[in-house]
Amino acid sequence: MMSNDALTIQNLTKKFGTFTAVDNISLTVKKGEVFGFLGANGAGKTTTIRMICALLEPTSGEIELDGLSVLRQPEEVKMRIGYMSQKFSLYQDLTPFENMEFFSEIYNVAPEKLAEEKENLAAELKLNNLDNILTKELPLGYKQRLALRTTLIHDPPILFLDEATSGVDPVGRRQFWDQIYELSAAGKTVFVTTHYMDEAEYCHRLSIMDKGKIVQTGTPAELKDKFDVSSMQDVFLQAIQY
Amino acid sequence: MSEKIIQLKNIAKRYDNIMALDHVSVSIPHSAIIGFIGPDGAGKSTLMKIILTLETADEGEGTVLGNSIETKKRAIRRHIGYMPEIFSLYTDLSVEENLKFFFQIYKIPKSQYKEKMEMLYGFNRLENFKTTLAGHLSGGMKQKLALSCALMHDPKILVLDEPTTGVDPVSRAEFWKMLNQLKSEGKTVLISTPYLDEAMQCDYIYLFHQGKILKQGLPDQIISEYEIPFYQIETRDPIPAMKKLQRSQLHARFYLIGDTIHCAMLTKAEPSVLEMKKIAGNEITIKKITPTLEDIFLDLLERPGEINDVK
Ligand SMILES: Nc1ncnc2c1ncn2[C@@H]1O[C@H](COP(=O)(O)OP(=O)(O)OP(=O)(O)O)[C@@H](O)[C@H]1O
Ligand SMILES: [Mg+2]
Repeated sequence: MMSNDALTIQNLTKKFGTFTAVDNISLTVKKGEVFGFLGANGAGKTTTIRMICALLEPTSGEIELDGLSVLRQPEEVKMRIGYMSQKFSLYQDLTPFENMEFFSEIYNVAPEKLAEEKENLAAELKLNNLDNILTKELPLGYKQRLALRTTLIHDPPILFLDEATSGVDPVGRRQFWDQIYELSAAGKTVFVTTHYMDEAEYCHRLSIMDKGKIVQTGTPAELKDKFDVSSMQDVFLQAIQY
Repeated sequence: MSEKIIQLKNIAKRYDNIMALDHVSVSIPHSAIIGFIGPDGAGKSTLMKIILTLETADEGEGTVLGNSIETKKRAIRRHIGYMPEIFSLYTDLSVEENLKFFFQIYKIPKSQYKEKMEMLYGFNRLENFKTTLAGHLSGGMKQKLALSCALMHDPKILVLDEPTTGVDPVSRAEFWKMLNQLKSEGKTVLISTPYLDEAMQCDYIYLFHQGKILKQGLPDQIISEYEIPFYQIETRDPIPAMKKLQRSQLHARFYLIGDTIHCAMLTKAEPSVLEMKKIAGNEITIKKITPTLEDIFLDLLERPGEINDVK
């Protein structure tokens, strides 16, 4: 049976020694949703994402992604996921095109598709030297778009963007969110973490994490109603007990 | 006597074929929080490094605390604390060991240890993680630890390059309380930030773009003097409404702010409410608003024709 759920998490826990970073969380994300994952520093967002992406083994719990078990089918799961980490996983000493080539190889992307993606990037950034400058020489906003393009190179149905807009100026963030909406309109599921509360308003639904637990889940409108406040900033401040 | 502690005139700096700073001048007083805002690569970090004497200007001249940035580098560096955009921590030392290390290298009197730690833990909320290795902290926790290490030092001038990137909203509020405390003690803080709500809390801001200073002033004054009219449009389903308005021939820019649509007129003319309702539906409500700094920032950078090729 085809499910409308892109991701189901059940009773997921991660302990580091005696410290519980993720504490028995459950969550469902629907296909095509832009799902926000908020929480104070250290709440457990990145740890959760790393477990979903099969990069970190849970202490206990179940994760199902696109109908696959993350624990039992980690390699298949990786092919269906695009993961952009808090510190973009680009090779700074390679050129932008070499980065694209590298990720294409990992994911067995067809050469024609790679060529097309390179052209798209060059057009998007209006640069014609992407095969002869180093990635580290690009301004942050450009690195971020390169990272998004490489994250998408194998056309994964689900994207995880962990603070993809951190440190990016308002113009760059706006352009980035335009792309997120396009991806969602094209049927992709987008899972984002952010500390910008205006971006929280742009999510279809979101969860707020506090000290390893999910303490709230809902649409921005539902959460604002629930706390009787007018902004996600106020929801956030009330939802977490610092 | 001049009250300015940093005075730079006509500073230019070129890297290869990029004009990182294109003849900028700044003049910064005592006891103030000065914000540098602008897109990536606009020149903020370069100017900070010139003030810190970590970079030398190709052209122009300046003084920091009365010392020439060309000839008195050492005197300047003694009085400035700096947190770079890309910092490093000792990842195999614990949170507390990192803090202690900086306490020692800055030679802070031992009697101040307790008070300093209390103040810093109050902001960074890392007290429960004292013994955690810095390498095992979350991204934002690392950022807060690095910032705490920079704040350990007690300099006259503090230069902070995007210190709150990745820091959660609660800690950002605490951090700003601390900056205001430092200011009341007579210190000057230079800070760059992509958060325009933080820029609003500065005493004076410089908006950088492509190596130039595009605007400067008190945040409130920049807002009140901005001549373009802005409107806010409310509707149940803002995104489709915005798309329709964007595709229309109306002489305005429409964009999303939170769950409302903002409209910046391209001329000083009033918008036609009737026309907008025809396009976006009758149930929309439109009212004139005072722009925020974000509205103005977007307008300056995205207004067609005036500045080219903005990224
Ligand atoms: N390898 C590790 N060993 C010990 N503790 C760890 C390890 N990795 C993460 N942690 C702890 O787990 C907690 C959650 O970290 P995580 O990176 O998931 O937070 P986050 O919600 O992503 O925070 P941020 O907003 O700062 O990115 C933190 O207290 C962190 O110190
Ligand atoms: Mg994180």
